Amino acid sequence: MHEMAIMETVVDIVVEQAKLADAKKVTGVKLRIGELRDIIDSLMEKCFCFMARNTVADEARLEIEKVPFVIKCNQCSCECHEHISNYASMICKNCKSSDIRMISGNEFFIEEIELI
Amino acid sequence: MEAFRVIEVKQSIFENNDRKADELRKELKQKKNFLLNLMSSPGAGKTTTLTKTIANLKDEFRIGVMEADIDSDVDAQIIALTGVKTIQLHTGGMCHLDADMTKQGLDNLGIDDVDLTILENVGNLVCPAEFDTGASKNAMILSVPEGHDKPLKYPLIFTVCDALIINKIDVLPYFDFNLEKVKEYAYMRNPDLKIFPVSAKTGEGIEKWCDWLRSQVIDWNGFTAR
Repeated sequence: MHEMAIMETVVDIVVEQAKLADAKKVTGVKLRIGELRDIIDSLMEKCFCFMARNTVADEARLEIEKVPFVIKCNQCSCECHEHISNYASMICKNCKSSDIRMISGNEFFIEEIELI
Repeated sequence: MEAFRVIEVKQSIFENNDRKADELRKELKQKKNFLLNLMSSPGAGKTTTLTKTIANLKDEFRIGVMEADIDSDVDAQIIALTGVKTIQLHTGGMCHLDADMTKQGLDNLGIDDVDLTILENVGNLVCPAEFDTGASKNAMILSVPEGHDKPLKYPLIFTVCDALIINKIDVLPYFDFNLEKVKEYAYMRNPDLKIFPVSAKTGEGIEKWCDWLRSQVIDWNGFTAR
């Protein structure tokens, strides 16, 4: 539901970057989104198309790269990779410690922009 | 043929909101105002829990409440009956509040004569979790009829909250709600979460929740309760 609000920010940043780069047109935008983020990719694309109308990014291709959820245990150094649908856990699967740090999964970045 | 260029941006989509949220937190700290962002799904009992919380703490702190809803002012009317300063924010269809909207709300409420502001966010377990409002602490309410599986279904909100209130424990005998399971699932998402089983209706457990909130306000504002 909040995809539209997020896309408004994405398009704002893209338009600003295109202006700084003196670009005529934006042809592609690549996002990096962590698996922990509650985002629907297909809805993101629709919102992007809508928000980008009449801007330099009109008809640009949107690419979404998903970043896996990974935690590392501070106690036993075990690295746990667990897909969100298998219940992302903040507890180490190996030694059951909650003394962990998150390596990835929370990202929400504009990675790169393709311009002419 | 025109050449394509690729520029690396690596800019966080939430950067702008996160920066504004940090600025707001700094301002609140300076003004000695503790802001609690209270989230839940619709009907979990935010307003009832709030009226009980206000009754418990209003002799100690000057309280202000911001009610965020898509439409109507029914919640603000109920809160106004408690005698604390209240405003209703209309999000006009928006499913969450961001730092900008929170700041506008605080400016309208006026926080110079307030020690504790409570923001009742839009009823929703998904979108509000994504946006930092600038609050000092985040809390959420999960009610018994919603089921104990919610930390599995809505992970993010459980990871961003400092406290989880489990409301409507007075109806536990009528539902297949497992209190131990919900704690296990919630701790899995967030081992530091403070969990408070309460019944806003009967008042059971409200005192423990208020003890936690009181200590957070005192910590943040750096003063002892009146």
